[in-house]
Amino acid sequence: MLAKVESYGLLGLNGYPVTVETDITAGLPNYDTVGLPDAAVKESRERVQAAIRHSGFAFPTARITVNLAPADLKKEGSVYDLPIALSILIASGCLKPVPHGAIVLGELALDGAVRPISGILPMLIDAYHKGYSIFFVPKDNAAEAAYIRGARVFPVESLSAIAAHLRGEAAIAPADAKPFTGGTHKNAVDFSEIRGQTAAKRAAEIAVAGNHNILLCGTPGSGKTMLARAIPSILPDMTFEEALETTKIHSVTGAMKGTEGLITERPFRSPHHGASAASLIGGGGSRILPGEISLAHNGVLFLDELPEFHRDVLEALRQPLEDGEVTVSRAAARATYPAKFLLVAAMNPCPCGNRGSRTKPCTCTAAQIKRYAGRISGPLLDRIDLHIEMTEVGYREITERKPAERSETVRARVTAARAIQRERFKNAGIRTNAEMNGELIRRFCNPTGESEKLLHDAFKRLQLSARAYQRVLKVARTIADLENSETIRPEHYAEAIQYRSMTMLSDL
Amino acid sequence: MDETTRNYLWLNYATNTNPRLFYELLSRFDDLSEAREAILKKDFESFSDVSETVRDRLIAAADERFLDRYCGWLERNDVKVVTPESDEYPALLSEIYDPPSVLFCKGTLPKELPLPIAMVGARNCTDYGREVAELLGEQLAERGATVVTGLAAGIDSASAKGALSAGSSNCPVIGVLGCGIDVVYPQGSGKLYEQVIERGALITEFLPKTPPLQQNFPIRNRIVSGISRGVVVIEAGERSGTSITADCAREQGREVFAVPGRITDPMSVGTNRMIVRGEAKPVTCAAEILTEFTDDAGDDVLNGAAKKVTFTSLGAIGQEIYMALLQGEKDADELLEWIDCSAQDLNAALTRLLFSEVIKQLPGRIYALDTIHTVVTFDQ
Repeated sequence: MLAKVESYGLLGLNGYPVTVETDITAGLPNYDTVGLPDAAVKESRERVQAAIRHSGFAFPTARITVNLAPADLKKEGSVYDLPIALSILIASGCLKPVPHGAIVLGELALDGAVRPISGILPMLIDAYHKGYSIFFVPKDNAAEAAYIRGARVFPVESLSAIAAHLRGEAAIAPADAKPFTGGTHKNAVDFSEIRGQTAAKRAAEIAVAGNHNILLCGTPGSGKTMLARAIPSILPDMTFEEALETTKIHSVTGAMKGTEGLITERPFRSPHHGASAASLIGGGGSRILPGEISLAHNGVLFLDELPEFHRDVLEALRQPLEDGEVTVSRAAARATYPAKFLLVAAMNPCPCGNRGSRTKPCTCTAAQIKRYAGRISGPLLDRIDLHIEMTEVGYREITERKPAERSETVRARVTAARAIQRERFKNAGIRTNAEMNGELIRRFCNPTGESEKLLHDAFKRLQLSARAYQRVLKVARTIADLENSETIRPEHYAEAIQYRSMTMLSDL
Repeated sequence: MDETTRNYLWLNYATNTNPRLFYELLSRFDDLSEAREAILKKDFESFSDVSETVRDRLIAAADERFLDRYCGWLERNDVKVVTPESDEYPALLSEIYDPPSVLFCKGTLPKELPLPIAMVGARNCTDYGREVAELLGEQLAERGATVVTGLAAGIDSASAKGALSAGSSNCPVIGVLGCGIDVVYPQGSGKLYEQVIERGALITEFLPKTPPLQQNFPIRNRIVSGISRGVVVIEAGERSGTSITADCAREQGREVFAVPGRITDPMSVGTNRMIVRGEAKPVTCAAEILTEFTDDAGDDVLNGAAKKVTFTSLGAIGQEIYMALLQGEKDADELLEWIDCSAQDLNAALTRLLFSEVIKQLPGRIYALDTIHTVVTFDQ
């Protein structure tokens, strides 16, 4: 007899339907899986046999052929254990066929229990758009799947449970559709916890308001990491679309198993400086996994000790920083992952770290400092709009009891500034000041009179590149937006210039 | 190259920067050509007491083909050879205990140096030291003196840069190297070398291609002070090479000056001690140095060229920043505590003050008054 069960596969973030076909004919007992299965799929044979036996069924003693269609795409992972087991039981006449338009996903344990799989959300979103609306998913994945509005999600605990459901003996209750309750800010450090550093906090606020990338430079212990960790807390709340996008990416890596289902807090990714280019931008063999920049999508990518990163790794960042997505190509496959993130980079002012400190002497020579700063290429530096020197935090600031501003308050200002930008760029196809191109800059930042003279002075004194000059204009635009000012006033430009005048990079 | 120079080059090559041996051997002959011929004929009678190494070098370099190659290389690289016989050999230098036997020179060494003043100091200097070195270098050159420096990192190169930025004078700077004339040290000084060659001169006693060995620098330093009439010390640590140079200058009978620093500053320990012991004359501006040697020393203030702005023109926040910085340098956060204003207003005011040179920014986002460039006056 022949049986068909629909399941799903994943290529990057895009899914494709996989039909599991099983044919059982009389003959010498044999069991074959065809349709480009990888090792994990081939091993499913053992899991499926054991699971069927331990769920109270007899494994058919006949010639069994399992085909995974389309036969020309490589099938990976343990997703197909449950559909294969079901199709064998259906083909052997033990169960009625699965209802039309249903997708079955799940890994089997030897005792017949169903284990969670990775990539549930991107698969089901894709399947839903292709007309499937009944989903049998592992119980631990149900929370993730329940955010798809209009779908019926059945959390499956074991093979015997789904068998009972299909026979009509004991129906599985569909999971409650979960409403999106808004973004959260639970994990990030609150701004009020940072002592002192008023100037640096102001810079961070501007950076977030206009989505500008930021470079923090300061002696060890000046609070660079802490400030970076606090930045997600002032980013605007995640919208449902953003939450779905981010969850999809995390789901592909299997990070969502057994969690609450949806990522509602902006991600903060902080890869170590030994990271390879593949781990940062994404890669892998036939199944390309998202890298850190995609996992930071809609959130913050924090690169601590920026000059210690390998140069090729940093250079690989340039294209995704411009495009907001990255396409990873391998001989066997290709995948595009979104990568819109706020880059927060941190570095010491010199190799010994004490340059600019008032308590410890710096032992570096001018040449050493030059070499250290030279490890970051100009083009990458040009993509970072704000440069901030962080000052040492003294005993006085640490013990200070004056209450500092809470993240909530700052976030309200940032959200307001972002709303202004969305309105301004609604016809331009962008959302924030940082994304402005040359033409938009000319249209929305038009320095005249005193402002022009100020910028002229800055251009000469700081020896800005044409690109850096444009970035000063963009930052000034954001500063004006934070004040809800239509025109950019001279003092806005004057402040923006402060974020370009890092002594370390201008001296050398 | 003429015969005398060739003979000097030969003996200099053989004695390899050992002036005492050079002059000892030179004094044995009326004519060096004879000596060279004697060597070529393997007649070592006059050289019985020299070591085998020197003798081997004497023989190797006596060969005409060797000297042709040597002189050819020097000419191709625009290297001039200045012997004690030539007019260009600095007069003051020939007075010291062991004057160099040959000077290799690039650029133009004037026949009479117009008031040469050496500037020496720490390599790992502070921002204060660098600023003072640039300013004094510029003022000295501006008033017709020639700045003599070792072109090392820190004070040396800052002095040279300052002297080069002066508009006037024919030879603003002479760089004395501790390595071969064709060796660039420290790395990355190529551009500074070029500027010095273009407007002044680069000289060295060492044979071409000599690497910058540690032991070369004390040898070099005696030329720096030897050429000069006075030596200005800017920043010297507790036990530093700079202090040794100053001792050497005193032994050569040169006037020594020192720029005072804060008594708590480790980079000023050496200079302050020289002043306390009376070994050096404290100076605060170029005029105080020049007045020792000439009647026409000019103004006696450091910031004579500073522009003047009125206190009221600084604006409300600018005035408060100025008053705060009068108490000493402060970082942005300290200023925010001192002045009751928002971070954005402070940033805007800082940019304006920086551009009008009322204040300057130091590493670590620390601000200080830029008293050298601007003087703030109060209305009466």
